[in-house]
Amino acid sequence: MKWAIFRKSIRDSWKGMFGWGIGLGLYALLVIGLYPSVAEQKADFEKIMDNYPDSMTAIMGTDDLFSPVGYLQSQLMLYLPLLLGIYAILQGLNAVTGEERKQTMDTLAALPIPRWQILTEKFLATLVIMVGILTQFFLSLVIGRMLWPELDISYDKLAAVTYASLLPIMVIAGVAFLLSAVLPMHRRWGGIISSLFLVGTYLIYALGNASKTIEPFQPFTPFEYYNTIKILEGGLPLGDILVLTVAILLLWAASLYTFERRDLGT
Amino acid sequence: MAQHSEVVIQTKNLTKKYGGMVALHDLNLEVQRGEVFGYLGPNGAGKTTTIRTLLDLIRPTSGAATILGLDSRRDSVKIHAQVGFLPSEMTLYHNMTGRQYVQFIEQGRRVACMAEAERLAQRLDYDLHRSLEGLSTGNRRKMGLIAALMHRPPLLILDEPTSGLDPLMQQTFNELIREIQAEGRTVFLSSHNLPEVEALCDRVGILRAGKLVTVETIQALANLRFRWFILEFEQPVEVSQFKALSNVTALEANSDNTRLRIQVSGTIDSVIKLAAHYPLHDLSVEHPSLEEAFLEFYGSNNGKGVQA
Repeated sequence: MKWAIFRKSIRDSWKGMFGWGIGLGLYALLVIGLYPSVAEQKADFEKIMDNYPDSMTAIMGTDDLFSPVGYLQSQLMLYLPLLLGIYAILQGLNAVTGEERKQTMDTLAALPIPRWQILTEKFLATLVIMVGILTQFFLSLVIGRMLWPELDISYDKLAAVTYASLLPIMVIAGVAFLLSAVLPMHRRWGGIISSLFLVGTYLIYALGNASKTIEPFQPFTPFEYYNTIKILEGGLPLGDILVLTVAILLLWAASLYTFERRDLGT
Repeated sequence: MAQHSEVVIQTKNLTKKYGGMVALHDLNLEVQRGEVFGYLGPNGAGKTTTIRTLLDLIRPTSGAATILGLDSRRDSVKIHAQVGFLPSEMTLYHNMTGRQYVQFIEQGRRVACMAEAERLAQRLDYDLHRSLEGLSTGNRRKMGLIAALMHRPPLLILDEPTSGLDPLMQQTFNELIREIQAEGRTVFLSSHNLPEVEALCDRVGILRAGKLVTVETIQALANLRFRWFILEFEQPVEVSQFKALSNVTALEANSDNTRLRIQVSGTIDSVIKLAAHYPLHDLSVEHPSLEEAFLEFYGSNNGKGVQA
């Protein structure tokens, strides 16, 4: 197997991979660099936070916002799948509708490569690109940890919390792949629906921590299964990993099923 | 001409509908091994729909097709390995050079074909080292032709292959197609470039509004409907007598009625007998160009006039 489409997808996205990796890495360094001064004034900040309603801290996912774990969770890791989800949507939509809009799909699909393999190679390329971005992000966490040791979290916990975010990100990518396979040529609609899914599920997850009405819907969001506090304080929750992995596989299978059966657009 | 003995493309009642619109209606077509088959029709007739259905890029609403004896749906991957395809809208990846594009197709096909690609590039006067970004229509077409031909497939399916090529390159393209045919390979090309079809094809299928109007040899198509007879007399003739003949379908006369150009349908016996009443200086026959024959199908007869 020559993996022509996988290699091409990586080649097409390497600039984006480094752009996103460096951007998120610099943001991580900025956030970690601010921690020593936050830690110094922890007592003052806690007094301020005492005046805020409980729902405010609930939205942040922790009531201990100024410990190393709470700070990293509330200021960085909470947003990581949301931010990378945007790039995952772009990758997913480009997989099929992008090729159709550029009118390159006919040449691609006329190669002796089954449709399922075209989509699978693109899906795997997205996975590798996301791992590449997360690796740069992890390296910046390591650098930040070395420069500012006040953020006292072990490297294996930093690695676990970084790479575990791959799962909710790939769920979001899976939704975009599915929409790309379902909606020939309708990249705009795919983008709108994927973005609504990303922002909507994020809001349900975040507001669900503070609202009893929204809370029952949290299990239907990928963010529910990426509990960074649990990972940073304990270990990798296997149940959550299993749920997200099954969701990714189901979305991938549904994308293949749809893409196999529909007419290709030009 | 190559020996025709084996069906390479066969469609049986192939139909494609988009909602209520019928893009292709009960297409029954056979293309033999070694022939160059022209698929003619105006824009929107269903040429590209046929090609995309044959290649399983779109799925038929009903009917079936076989390519090289393989089912177009079930065996599409095997078919793709043996077909060279040039789409009508040739769009390339802008972030590649020609060589990189050839390497990409090589990887996809799992066949080494750089040497053949370089040979074709030389024939088509195309530089594979240049970026694919900002190429002219003609150069995109050349790159597409190289990609379609470089793995030396037994069947070529070319959708409007010469659109955008300059006349010199069209000549080179014609030579390539003749060489391919001489090797016993088959070419199915869609076009509305009639001189190209006339110069290259053994047979043509004419498509109109999704229906196959006829399949004919080029020669038969040109001879089938009508001929023009040029009669030059030594003195003026009574034009109305000729117009009155039942098999005269059109008549043009010069100002002094000594030269008549008569379009005759069927036998010319009555025309010759009437002309014999006058001193006849010369008689010649003009066969219709394919374009005239083509227009006849789409013009006054609405595609109903030809018996296949």
